[in-house]
Amino acid sequence: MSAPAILIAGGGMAGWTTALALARPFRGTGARIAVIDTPGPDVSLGPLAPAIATLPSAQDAHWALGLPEHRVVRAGRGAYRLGEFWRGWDGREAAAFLPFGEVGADIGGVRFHQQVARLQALGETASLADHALSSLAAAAGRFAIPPHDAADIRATLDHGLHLDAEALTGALLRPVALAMGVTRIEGGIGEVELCTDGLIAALRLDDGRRETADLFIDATGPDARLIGALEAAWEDEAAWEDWAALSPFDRAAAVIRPDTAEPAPFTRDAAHPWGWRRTMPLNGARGEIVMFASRHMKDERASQMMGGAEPAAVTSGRRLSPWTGNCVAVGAAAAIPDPLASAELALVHAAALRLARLVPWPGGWRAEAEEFNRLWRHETESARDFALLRHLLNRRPEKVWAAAREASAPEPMDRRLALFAARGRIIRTEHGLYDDALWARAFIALGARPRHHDPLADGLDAGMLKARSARIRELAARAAASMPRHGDFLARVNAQDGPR
Amino acid sequence: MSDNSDSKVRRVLIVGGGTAGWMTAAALSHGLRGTGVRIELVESEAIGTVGVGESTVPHIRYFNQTLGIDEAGFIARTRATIKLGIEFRNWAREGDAYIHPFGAYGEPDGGPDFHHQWLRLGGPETMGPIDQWSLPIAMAKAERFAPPSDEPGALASTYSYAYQFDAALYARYLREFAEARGVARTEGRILDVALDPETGDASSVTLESGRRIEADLFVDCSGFRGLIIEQAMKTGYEDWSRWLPCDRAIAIPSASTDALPPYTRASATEAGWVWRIPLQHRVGNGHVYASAFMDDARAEGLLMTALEGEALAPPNRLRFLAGKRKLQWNRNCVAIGLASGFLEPLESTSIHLIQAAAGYLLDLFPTGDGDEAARDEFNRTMAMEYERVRDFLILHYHATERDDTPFWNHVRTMEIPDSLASKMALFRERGSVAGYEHGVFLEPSWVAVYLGQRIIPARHDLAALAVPEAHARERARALKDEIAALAMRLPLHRDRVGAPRATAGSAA
Repeated sequence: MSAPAILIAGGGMAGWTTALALARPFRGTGARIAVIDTPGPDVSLGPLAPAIATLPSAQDAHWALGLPEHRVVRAGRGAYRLGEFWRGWDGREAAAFLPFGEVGADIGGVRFHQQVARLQALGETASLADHALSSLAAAAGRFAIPPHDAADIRATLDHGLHLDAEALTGALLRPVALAMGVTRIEGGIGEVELCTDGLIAALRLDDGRRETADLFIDATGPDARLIGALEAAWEDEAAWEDWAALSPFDRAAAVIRPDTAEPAPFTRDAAHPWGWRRTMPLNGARGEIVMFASRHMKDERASQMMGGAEPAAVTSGRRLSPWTGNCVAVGAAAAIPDPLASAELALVHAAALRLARLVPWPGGWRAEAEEFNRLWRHETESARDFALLRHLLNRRPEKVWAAAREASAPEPMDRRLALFAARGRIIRTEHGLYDDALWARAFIALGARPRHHDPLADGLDAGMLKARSARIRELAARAAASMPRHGDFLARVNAQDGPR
Repeated sequence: MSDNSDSKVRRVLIVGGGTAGWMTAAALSHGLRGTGVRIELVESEAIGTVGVGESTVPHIRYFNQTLGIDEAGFIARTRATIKLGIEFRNWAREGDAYIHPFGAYGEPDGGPDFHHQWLRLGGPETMGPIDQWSLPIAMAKAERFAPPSDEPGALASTYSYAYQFDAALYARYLREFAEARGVARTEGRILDVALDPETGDASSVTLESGRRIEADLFVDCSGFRGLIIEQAMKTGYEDWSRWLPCDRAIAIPSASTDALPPYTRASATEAGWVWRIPLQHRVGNGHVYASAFMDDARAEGLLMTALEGEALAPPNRLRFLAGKRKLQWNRNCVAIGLASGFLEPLESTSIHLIQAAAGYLLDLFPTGDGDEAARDEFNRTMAMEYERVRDFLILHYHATERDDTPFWNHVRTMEIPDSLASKMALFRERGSVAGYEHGVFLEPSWVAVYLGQRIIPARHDLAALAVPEAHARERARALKDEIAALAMRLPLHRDRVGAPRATAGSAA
């Protein structure tokens, strides 16, 4: 049996990440992996992703791709993020922090956020985030990698990254993939040749070359050149599910611009009367995204705000079956999540690493595609809903924000809201990108107040809870003060040649 | 009572003792400690308990640990033995035998799971049974046991274990636990259940003695009849017998033999299967069968022939219908155990489903105010648990080559749920297991049963080719020897659980 030939169309971050995910396990199998490295800016993660924020799960994914994190940070002009500062979502200018990592500790079946809610019911004022080391460290501009010693409170830390997508692709993803034997084909994509059975036969490059393969990966971004060409043959199966109705914000722009200030170790999201703005510190630069309602702000104003970047229409949505026939779409060709979900890279990582375990033998694909798409729907659903939470729970006075509140929550979001509203509980889902504790913190950061906390929390001794709470805050404060400044930490990472 | 709780659920009544009732009582008394919620359990000595769940899955250890139960004491009190898996005999073909172990094959090496390499190297014909690459199977066959190592990556860390125990003794053990934590036990038979005419909620039960017990939350552990959930509330039942036609069982204990196998055995018969569960002091046996395909006398005859020691009691007969209540939490009543549904104990899931329900009930404990979301979440989650076990059980019947009886012809050719059909297609096609996060049986279990039922994938994960063939073959050979040798170095299971030898007192 011959090992398959896999052709990846589109040489951006999505394409080269997928190439890496396939190259490692298939080295030595005879499988041929090639990337058509298309010219022009990288839109493989969508038009709003020159800079991206990753979730903590990117650490595992990078490890699986054989990329030491310090090399990712260095190559991607990266900075660390301990969580997200959310300002203005409550309609006043209060800021809330969404910390990554662990916060406090459950007692038996009583989650930590329920313990804090009980203390608040008893009149204590400390918030959930006050107990989070990552929250205190972020506020102080400090950062550390968690130590292995579980008894050290710094072991509760966890982080994502801010990355410059093109820089990372050029300086790390592409060269590592090439070193692993991936073939690079330079050129633009011309015509997609289909067989009568709806499979892709070959790709024509714009110079007339014809490339064939057993499996085609569409990493061409929102244009979705390959999977888009299949839509006619496969009808609903390959079609795009539009999420526009979930958000009143219809225009957006993104940019990376120079910034020599010490990068803050967190993402800053600010809600404004016209929409919201996200700031992602990088090393020597910062990425910014604005998303707004065209009825409330003109493109020119947004462009001014964004150093000349041109706004464009928002195109959030997903394909329900990004794997159709012998074509698998990744990146923005498969889904464009709301940037507030920080899910662009997580979706690529999940898809690429799963694909590596499901690469079909020549001729077969149906069983593999079904499994791939089933898990994909869970992943994209969680990304959709995590961003949607900030629309549905905002408390701003403006009409456009009122409209954001009114969007009807799709399944399972409706259940998620109902269960939290009653007792602050989190529904059980599978294959999502965010863990239960993070969901609970997101609700709380947005000021959601359940009708009552979990009745099990009432069984815990109030004095013990108070003492524990004080102790955790004290340990966290002390540990935060002992951590290096984020800028110094980054400087060390960037100065080193070898692993730390 | 807690000073600030606004919960209206202050009194919980558990209806029925037995394994389900006392596991629930133990879990609730532990989880609700300090909340001021009063827990009462009504049971009647006159009503027998079923106690089919003498064999468990590894999750039971987590249940015991959560309650702070000491393992050595538990093993002694419940006359428990260790369980490393289940041996299935005569399932895909008469004469076949394989063990579904609590552990994955091979050892983690960063590449595809071991069975892909095994397939790549020729599968069953060239390599022989994949059982040879499972440490828990080697241990089971040698009747040896030591707890798994917690050193990640070590061969000795690649398995888990459960117990086989006397369910009646376990219930008694948990009764002491629960009573010590304030659960009030009432002896008596329930004559009447009163529903609130307006809301339809259960409001009280009346005992034979005339005593009326009111409660805010009722947990129905009354067994098959579902005293509150079904008889009073008419919740309805989802019938799964079109996939799982076995509807009767005969159970009988027998005297121990010289052997003390750390595994359960399930041997397929003409129209069902016979279990053998070795405990310290006796062996549990039973025959689960489909009455449409086998009469009771034949079933009993086959069971008696299968006994390896003298029968210690008259046979106990059971009837059931595979399926589950349409709602396992209806109004203010949560059904747990046989009152909530029935799945035959082929994979020893009865006790696990009780444990899962008690755990979710605590996670979602009601307050009497706006409990709809919690109820929906409970019902959705438990339905998923049941359906996943159901699919796994159907696999054992459907994936067979047996055509020797009408029963096997029926299960081999029946329509199966789509959820299972797509899973089987993926394994058949390329040896991959459709993944899920919540559910008793994870990937290694599915692999073991697929292969044991002779579903040999057409192809393996391509990435298995990344290791040169000669190297992979040599590594597999060495690993096989390592596993066999390691198993023989472990202590005997009998010594580990401290069970006396049967021979001396012979069937005493």
